[in-house]
Amino acid sequence: MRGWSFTAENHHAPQSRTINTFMMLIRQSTLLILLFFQLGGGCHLIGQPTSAGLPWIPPGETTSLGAVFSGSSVNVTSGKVRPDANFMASREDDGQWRQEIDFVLYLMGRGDLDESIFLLERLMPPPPPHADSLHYLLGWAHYRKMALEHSAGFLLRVSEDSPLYHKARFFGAYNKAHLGRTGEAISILAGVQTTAGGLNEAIWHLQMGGMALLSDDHLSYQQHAGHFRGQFHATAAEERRMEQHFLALSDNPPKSPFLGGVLSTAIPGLGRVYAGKSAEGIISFLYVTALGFTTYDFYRGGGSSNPLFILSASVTGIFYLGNIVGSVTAVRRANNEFRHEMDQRILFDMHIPLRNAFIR
Amino acid sequence: MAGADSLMAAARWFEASIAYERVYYLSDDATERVLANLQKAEALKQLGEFSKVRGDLQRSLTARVKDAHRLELLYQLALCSYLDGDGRSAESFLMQLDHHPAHEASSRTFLLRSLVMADLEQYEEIKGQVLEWLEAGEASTALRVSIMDRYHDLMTDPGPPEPKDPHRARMWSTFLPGAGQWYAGSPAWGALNLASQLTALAGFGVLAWNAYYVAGVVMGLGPFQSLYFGGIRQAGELAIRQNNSRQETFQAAMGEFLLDVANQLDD
Repeated sequence: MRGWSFTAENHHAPQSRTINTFMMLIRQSTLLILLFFQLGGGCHLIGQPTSAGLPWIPPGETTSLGAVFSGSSVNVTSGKVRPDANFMASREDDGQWRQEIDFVLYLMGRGDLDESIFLLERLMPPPPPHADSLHYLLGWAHYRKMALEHSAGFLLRVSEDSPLYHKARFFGAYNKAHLGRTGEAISILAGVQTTAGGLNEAIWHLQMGGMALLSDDHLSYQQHAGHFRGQFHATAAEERRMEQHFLALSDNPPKSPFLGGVLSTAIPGLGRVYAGKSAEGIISFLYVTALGFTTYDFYRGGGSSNPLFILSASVTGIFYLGNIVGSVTAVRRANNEFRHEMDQRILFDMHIPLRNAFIR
Repeated sequence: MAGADSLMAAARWFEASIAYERVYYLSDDATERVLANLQKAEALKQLGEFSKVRGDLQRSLTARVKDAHRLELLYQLALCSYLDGDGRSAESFLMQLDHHPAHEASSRTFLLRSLVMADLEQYEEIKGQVLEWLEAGEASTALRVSIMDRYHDLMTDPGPPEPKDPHRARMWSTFLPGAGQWYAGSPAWGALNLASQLTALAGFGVLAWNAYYVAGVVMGLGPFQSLYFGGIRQAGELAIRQNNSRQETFQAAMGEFLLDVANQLDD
């Protein structure tokens, strides 16, 4: 059974209610015409998925028509109108459900995310026809709150039958990737089916390529990059930038902390210069050298038994060793900073196409 | 609205705020929407979300509502702006309130205006406001004298803090180490800075006297320059910190005095 979809963005109550009322009138008119022409012939249109944000026919009601207007149902075979208590109850529930969801969408439009989540969680566990919508909305509200773990948890519960499935999967996987769980994100996306040559496929390859870069799997990246065609506006620029990220990662392999330590052993501060932190390296060189000269000064004046020489030599030795350890740490830090910077850029370029394609 | 009111009565502020928002969302009656908005503001105030209240109440300002509701909206906006730490906006809403034809001065507006003045460091102007307040409150002569005496005491001892110039503090420390800290109101820091600089210089002198010139420069002059320039920077920062601290202390004392005035007039 397919659910109906919502778009939370740009949802403002007055406009939404006006549009909904207008669309309801159109829909009801259409249904009246259908009823008029198709009595006795069955109406397969009822129960089909409806477009985003519009009033809808209760899912599963494939043989009842008139209840949309009066709370009674029409037997489409006989054309007789009869009261249907169960259906009326179901309609009433759906009406309340819809009203609640409309209010939640209004709150989300206002940015009242805590309130939206509070109301949505009160609807848990959702009745089966509305499960996808509720999970999606909860996932989206958490996503907007930057609670990515919760967001992924709800988004990944959206079923394959939902029109929101691809959006939910892509954002769910992206959330996992943002949390550093690239392996999980890849396995989520691996199970997503897309249409060959379509935008979803282009996004899929871009996401998989980005995740391959995040997990340092350059071979896998190149396989996905082979599908970068630049044919969709939503992904073209990011595909180009992903190539640049790949080149930057390939051209800048991680620096060796061991080499940094060795360099600083030979010349204090050189390891930090190797790590790309020249100012730190110069300062390190200056203070170790200054302490070295001080030690020599005490040695020159009082020989090796001079207590000032012993004290100064000990301090210089500590600083010298500290300079070596500091250089090793500086190289590790520089590697982490570069990796973090690249990861942020990759995640950014994975995120932009998702927003372009799915959030309008 | 009744459901929201019962949540409010049960002190379930968060749920009440949602329920009032629902009334605002569903109702077509402008008056009911404004009332729901005002009640929501009360719930949010309990949660300390003053900034959110300001955003919510602004929605109703453009609605065609009764004068009483508009006055309440303006007062709540001023109050929440003040509580949100935005004295300028609070002053602006109070001015709008004053210029509304239906506005009548009340104890709560006098109090809020005085607190806003204290927040904006307009301590001298508070005197006129308090006099007007006493007049409107029909205070007895004895009460007036007692309150105005307290105001004068507050304004003379300790009196509004005179701000220390951070630039001047830095200049003092440039020419006389430790003096900038003294000027900023922290003589202990000044003495410590001066003593540490003298110690570093003495270290240089002793080492140089014993012909340890390199050691003297590294271990004496090195720390000295660091202490000297650090002392100049510290003097400026201390001046700024002291200014803020004294201002807050005086504002707290003034606020306490104004709340006392309100209590005495209410009694």
